[in-house]
Amino acid sequence: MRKVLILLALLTLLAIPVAAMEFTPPTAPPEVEELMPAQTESFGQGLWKLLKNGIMKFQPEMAAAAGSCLALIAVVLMASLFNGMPGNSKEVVKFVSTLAIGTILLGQANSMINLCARTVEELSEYGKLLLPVITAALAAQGGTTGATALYAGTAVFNTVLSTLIGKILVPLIYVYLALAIGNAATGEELLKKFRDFIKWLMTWMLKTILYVFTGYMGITGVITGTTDAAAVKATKLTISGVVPVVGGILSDASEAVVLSVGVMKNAVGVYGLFAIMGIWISPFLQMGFQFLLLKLTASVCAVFGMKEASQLIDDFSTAMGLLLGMVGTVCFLHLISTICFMKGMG
Amino acid sequence: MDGIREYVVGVVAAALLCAAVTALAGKKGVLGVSVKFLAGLLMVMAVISPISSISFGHWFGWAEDIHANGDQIVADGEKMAMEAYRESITEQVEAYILDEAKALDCQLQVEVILSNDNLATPKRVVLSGNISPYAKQVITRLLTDELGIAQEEQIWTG
Repeated sequence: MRKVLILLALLTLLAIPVAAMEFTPPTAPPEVEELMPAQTESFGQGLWKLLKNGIMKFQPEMAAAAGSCLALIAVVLMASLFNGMPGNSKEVVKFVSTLAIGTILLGQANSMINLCARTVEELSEYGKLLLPVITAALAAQGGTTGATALYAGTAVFNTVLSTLIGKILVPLIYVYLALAIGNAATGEELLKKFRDFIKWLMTWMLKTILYVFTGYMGITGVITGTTDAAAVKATKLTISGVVPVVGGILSDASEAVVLSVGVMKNAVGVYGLFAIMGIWISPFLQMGFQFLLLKLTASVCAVFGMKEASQLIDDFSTAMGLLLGMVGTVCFLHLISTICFMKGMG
Repeated sequence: MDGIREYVVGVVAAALLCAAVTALAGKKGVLGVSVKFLAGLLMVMAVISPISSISFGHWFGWAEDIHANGDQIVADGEKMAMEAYRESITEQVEAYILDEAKALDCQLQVEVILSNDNLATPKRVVLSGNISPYAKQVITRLLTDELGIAQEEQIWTG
């Protein structure tokens, strides 16, 4: 797909006499390139192809996740049976079943947490490579003020968010799970309160960053877009005041530069959007499937009357939900940023 | 970021310790009440003490670096666009002069030099080739009137 985009950009360069510039998007990781659509004639079709490829790639993971859930149901069913037998200590059954559920789910949760951390890092790294290219393209198109402001906003929020996730939120997921297991095993109210606090803190951090970022990009886009459009109009007026023949040549050259940069910027942007979604789709589907399956398992387990066990499984599904939130937030940040750059001067 | 992580993990570790000790000590009796009081004291210390050492100074320097990078990238983009713009103008002006010369049956070599301002208007032209006095006069007038190049900036060689 990258080759097609480069070819398109080169063909455009042949059509318009502007040869000094070339803006090429950074190559997506090889495993992501496999998922990306082969052509970009229709954005909708490309998205559909990406989703289809993502689902096809993710299918083999389903069986393992479903197996774990069946094991969980078996554990809870056994615990429920032991609980009902006379002479058995309910506390011991609760403790042992919590331990068994924790053992089954921790490995799975650990691999999901690692997947989340890796995906966030990949998205952030790709964003860091894409950002200078699309910023330079917008600046070349005449959106100097907008390019500076959008670059600063995206770079700051990308760094803050990826550092926040890598250094605080991912370790906090482990803390959250430790508190959830502790609460399920002992029933301590303090642990429950802290577990809920950790969940609230993580959700609040992600939401706040996303709200502030979206607000910043929206307001900056409007203000700088107007400023840049006015500057371009002023330049055109100056050009029109020059001797007619030269004025025409200057005007044509200026239009050619703006047009060719616009085409290249859009090609970079579309490739970037597909690459970002390609990095995001597979882990998102994987985590989303785990999330739904654990929610379903928790509901099924609630039928056996094991409240703590069901709550613990639900807590694990909440952890998956938080991971989904992290990956989704980073992906959304990059998508919004790329679209803002593509929109440029409006 | 490391500081925030250490803070949250510290508070949670204190909470886990408090929960474990409270559960072991039981909820009733002098021991239970004393342990609860001490656990509360430990929690307050874990929550409050690290807040006093928070500093935001280094954040501003880091944001300035991002701004400087952004300015550099934007300047590079503008430079690339300006180079393409100047190249396009040079090519078009040279082609225009050559077309006019061809209409007068002249074979010319043309080199156009643009002004250094943002408009990049043709400032000087260097021409060479076999040309009749009449054609030279026509080209000179064309360069002055249509392209705005002053006569003293029209250099004829050979």
